Amino acid sequence: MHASSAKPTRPMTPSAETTASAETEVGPEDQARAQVYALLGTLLARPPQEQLLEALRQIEPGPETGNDMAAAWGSLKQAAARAETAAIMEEYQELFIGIGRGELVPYGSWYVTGFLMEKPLAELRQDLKRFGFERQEDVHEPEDHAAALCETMSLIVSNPQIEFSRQREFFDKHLGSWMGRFFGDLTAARAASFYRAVGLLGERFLEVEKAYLSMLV
Amino acid sequence: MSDKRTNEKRREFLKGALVGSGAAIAAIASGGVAAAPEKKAAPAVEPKAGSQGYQETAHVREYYKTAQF
Repeated sequence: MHASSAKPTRPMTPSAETTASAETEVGPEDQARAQVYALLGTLLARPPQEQLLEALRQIEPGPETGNDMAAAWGSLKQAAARAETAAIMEEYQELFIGIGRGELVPYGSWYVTGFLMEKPLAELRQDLKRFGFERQEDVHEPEDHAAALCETMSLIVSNPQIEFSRQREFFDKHLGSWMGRFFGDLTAARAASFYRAVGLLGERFLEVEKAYLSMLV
Repeated sequence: MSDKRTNEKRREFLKGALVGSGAAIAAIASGGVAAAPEKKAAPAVEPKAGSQGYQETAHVREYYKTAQF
């Protein structure tokens, strides 16, 4: 273990400049982003229960304007309408857990290096520490699981103190290079049925995020 | 200040890109998916037993609590 009690290399307190510009509230657009990340995190962490499926069936995707997100919401709604919890549990099992391993391996280090628990995970742990995030003792999943990263993004986006540039930095370093590919794989996975729609939503949303976070205004 | 979170151009972009997501997100929130809580908005209720939607579980709450920005 690293000596975590040592002085942090970077202070947690924001500089005077960033404090001055810090927002005190999260706007509705950022709230929406945080919600989408939270939803993706939820759906990737465990198969949805009936309550969530029922909510997904109520989605109103809005007018078809060629808008990619609207189409993805529409297909998620349809997938939820067809879905049954027992079948989704089996699907989830086959996709992500399997015997030995599932059809997909939803970890950043796997996608980036071809191995689990590699350097990207070590760097992620450093960065999480820098944000002040601590791992729960009863959580055994490595932090670079796609679900954990979506949940982390949700936390980051919904914290008004965290500047845009730090969101961008975290996204670029830990999600940007691989998660879109993972969602793409999900849309094409043999075992996927309901999760195809999840993959599509994730794929589209990450495209939006990439474009949004790279905006230099 | 380019680093400012609230920026009209970025906001406009998001409005366009997330079109159609508003109602979807409202539905999701009703299904037990909660984004990380804002500091001031403490949850009024504990998650229902047996429900497995992403809720503000002890885990998430703890995770958030330990975040010191």
